[in-house]
Amino acid sequence: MELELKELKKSYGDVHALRGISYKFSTGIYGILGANGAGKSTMINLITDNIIRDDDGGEVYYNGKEILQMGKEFRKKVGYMPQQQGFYEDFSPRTFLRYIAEIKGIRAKDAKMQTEELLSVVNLSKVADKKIGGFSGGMKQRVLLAQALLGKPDILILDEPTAGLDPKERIVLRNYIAGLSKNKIILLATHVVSDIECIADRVLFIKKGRIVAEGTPEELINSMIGKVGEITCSLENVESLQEKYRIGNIRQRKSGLVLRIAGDTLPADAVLVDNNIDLEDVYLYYFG
Amino acid sequence: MREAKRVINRNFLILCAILFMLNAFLIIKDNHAQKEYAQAYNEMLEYAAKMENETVSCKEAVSLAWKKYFARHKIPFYGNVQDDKDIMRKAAVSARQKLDEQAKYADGFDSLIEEKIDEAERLIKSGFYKNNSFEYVNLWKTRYDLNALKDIEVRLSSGSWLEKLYEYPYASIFSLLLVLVSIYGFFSERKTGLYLCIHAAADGRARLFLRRSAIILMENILINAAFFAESAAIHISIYGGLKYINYAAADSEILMLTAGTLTRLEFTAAMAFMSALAGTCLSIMFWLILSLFRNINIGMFIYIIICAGEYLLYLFIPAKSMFRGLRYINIYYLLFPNKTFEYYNWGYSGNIFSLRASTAGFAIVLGTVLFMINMYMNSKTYYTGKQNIIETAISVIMEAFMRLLGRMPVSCKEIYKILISQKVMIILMLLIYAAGNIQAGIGTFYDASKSYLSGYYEKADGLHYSKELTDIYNQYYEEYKKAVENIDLHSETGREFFYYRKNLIGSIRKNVDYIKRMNEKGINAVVLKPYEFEGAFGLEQSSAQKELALLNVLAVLAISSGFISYEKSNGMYNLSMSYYKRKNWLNRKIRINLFLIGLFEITSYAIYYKKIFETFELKNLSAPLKSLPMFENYILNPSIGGFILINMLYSFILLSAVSLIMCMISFYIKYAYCLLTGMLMVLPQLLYMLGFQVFDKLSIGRYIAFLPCFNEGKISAYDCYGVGISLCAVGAAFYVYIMEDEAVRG
Repeated sequence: MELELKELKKSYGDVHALRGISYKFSTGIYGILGANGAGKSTMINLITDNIIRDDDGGEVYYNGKEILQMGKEFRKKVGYMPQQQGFYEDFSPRTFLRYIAEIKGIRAKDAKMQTEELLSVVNLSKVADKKIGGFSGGMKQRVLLAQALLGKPDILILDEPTAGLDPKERIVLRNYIAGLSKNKIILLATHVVSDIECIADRVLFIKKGRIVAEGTPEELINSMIGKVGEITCSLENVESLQEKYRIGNIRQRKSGLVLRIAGDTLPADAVLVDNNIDLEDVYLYYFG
Repeated sequence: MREAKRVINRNFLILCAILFMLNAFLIIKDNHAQKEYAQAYNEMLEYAAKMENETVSCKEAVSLAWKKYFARHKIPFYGNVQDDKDIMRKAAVSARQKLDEQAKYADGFDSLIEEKIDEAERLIKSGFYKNNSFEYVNLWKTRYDLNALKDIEVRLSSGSWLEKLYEYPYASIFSLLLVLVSIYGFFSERKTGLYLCIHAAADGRARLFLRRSAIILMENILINAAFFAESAAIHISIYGGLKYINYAAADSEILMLTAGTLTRLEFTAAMAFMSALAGTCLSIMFWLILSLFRNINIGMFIYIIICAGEYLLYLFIPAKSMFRGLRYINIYYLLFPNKTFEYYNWGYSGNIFSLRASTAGFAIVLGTVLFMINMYMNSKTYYTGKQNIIETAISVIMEAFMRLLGRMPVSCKEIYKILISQKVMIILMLLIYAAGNIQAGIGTFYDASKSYLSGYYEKADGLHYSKELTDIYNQYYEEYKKAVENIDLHSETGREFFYYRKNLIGSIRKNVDYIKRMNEKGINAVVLKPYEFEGAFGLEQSSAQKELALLNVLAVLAISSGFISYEKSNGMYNLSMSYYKRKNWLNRKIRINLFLIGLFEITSYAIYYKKIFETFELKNLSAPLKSLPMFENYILNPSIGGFILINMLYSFILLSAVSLIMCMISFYIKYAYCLLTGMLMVLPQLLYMLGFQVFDKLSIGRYIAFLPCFNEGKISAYDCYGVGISLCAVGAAFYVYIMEDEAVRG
């Protein structure tokens, strides 16, 4: 199973949302990290065929076939959880899932079975017949996830799936996604590093419509060796340091304020933390 | 006041403007046809008012006035006149009739009052009624009220505007609606979480409560005053009578006991005041009920149930029942406060109440009690999120319904989405109510000619051109010859009679020739009495047919406006477009749209045609359509019943085209503005209904109804076909575009 992006481009007038992204996805979880406006959602919309490609906008292949030529056969294989919560607030989760199942072309008998299964999986069986409008944000996200999983899609695209979830719910969702990754291509777009840190097989960093870094979490962390350090300083110096360097966390210690800095150049008195680098530092390096 | 500013926000003001315009529209639509009548009436009244004095009675003044009017405008009393003069004559005759009645009333007012007082006294003294019985006390009260009228000087003056205003219910209804909308806005703090801040503040709840109470009171007073002022102004602009505004309202006989000794201005103010009082009570009730529920929509529903329950009590409890207190002390009179001004007394044994006093008392007492309860609840209520018993019950019912909906086919879910989620059901119910109020006419008026010719039609009913038919004709011809044999053609009466009989036999001949011509062409036509069908399908019904078509177009706009815009507004569009059967999804939505449009059309047309059938007593629906000369140029020859169905099908096809155009608009316009944008299609017809004739040819209703064009003549009929074909072509093009992949993705 392979999903390939070839020189994917998209412009909205003078704004270049994507500037030629090429990548191959195979089975596993891919974290797509980027700040707001980086081009993540545009890339996803092009994969899900929700927006029209530009004339020289590149191609998307699934198992060697162009998805636009595959048409609905490709869409049959996609499960999509959009960033913007989309449902009918007057529907119950059960009604909503049955409705989506019909759009996905799932047969009635299978739809019924999968609906009940998924309601149980996302822990919404007890409220299956209450209106979605009365749900909390986290419950609504779980409804969205359930509809994305209907039809057992080969490609699962989750755009900001943990938005609005509390820490416990985030962990539950992460673990669940991790369990799905066999025999599926899962694209998880987010700007929250902790969402993908533990579960992603590979991570892509997107900035201003381009992939600026990609690799396994270990590879990306290793690439930061010698580029992440900490410095202790007083409050008065923080501002001047912020102007010169990319500063991540600021922690209060007995000795003073400890600033975490990532970059090609570090202050002379910065202490390298090569044994303690994480993906946040990688994020800071590219997006700070 | 900041709270007032928050509640009376931009959306509220827009709604205000819409309701004011709607109010004006309704008054003008219902009354602008009376303009000729009003002009004639006012002119005659001017003449009469100048002539009326101590020696010339009102009756004599009116008699001179209308003769002067007829002479001045050269309107003949008798004989045939051209169309526009005929309209003037009809208006002048109606105005004259009204003035005659007024004059009789004015001249005889004093003796009328004396007569009624004497009658009351006679009944009191008769001993027929027990002392202390309701009837006995009622007689005393009536006598007392009549006595109060003795001092009124009743004169000839124009008060039609006030008579119409008195019967007009919407000023109160719109005022109440606006206030209820602003009360609904009080509860936005629950959605935003602001109620927590209010509850945590030292006097948050109390202060807010007082401010909101003041807002309700001020809104009721000001909004009612504004609507009544607007309604009065528009009625006066149509009927005239501004200079008589300080005359006694009792100058109009129907307002004699209703308005008592009040002037017209005072009576208008009294109606506005009563409406404000009733509105305040209903507003407080609405506020209290909504406060009791976590989900305010349930509160609204309960409010409607209470009002409906009260209405049923009013409807089913007879006037003399021992439970009549429940009929007269009823929310119904708060909803329609103008009705309380009708002179009516009720009571038990020796206790008597006038309807308006009991209603005013009810409003004050109920309003005060509910206000106190609300004040108490406001200080005690904690928004814990707990449901009360009604909410729990409704929740259980809704869950059961959702379970059922989950199992139903997707089409049912789509219908639910349109009717319930998008609240289109409310609009459709209002449109059905409007369809039920379309005037179908008063039936066929049989003058001497029609009565005579009916005899021929009944004898020849169902006959093709045949010997039997010609025999019947010959009989009538012989009769005609006998009738005119010895007529003196030198006398005017003789000539009149001759031409009258000649016209009659000519009509019969014309009909026979018509049937002959049709049968010779191979067209199946039989003799059929045409008058009821002319009334049901002719030019007289043009207004009604256009209105009905307009209501159907409005239904189409409401149903179709959310086609894509609603999906985009709640994020479902992108989701659905990413899936396998997205085109099926679009197709299904279009099919459901058309299904609902068809259902509405059948319902609205059924209501209309039921009225038509009852009014005109239509029979012989299986007769061929071309039996009626008015349909000679129609392209097909179905049965008359079949024609009704074909016409409905034709309308449905055009409505479907309008639906597709609306679906197209829905792609590009936001949900909140989609329906308003679609309303541009009906704007010309709305302007036409307000009296701007120039917009008639641009009115969408005339083309969808078809018959108004057809009855105007061949050219109009061809115009109609042309417009119909164009609409269908545009609709079809939009359908293809909507289904096009690129358009779908956007």
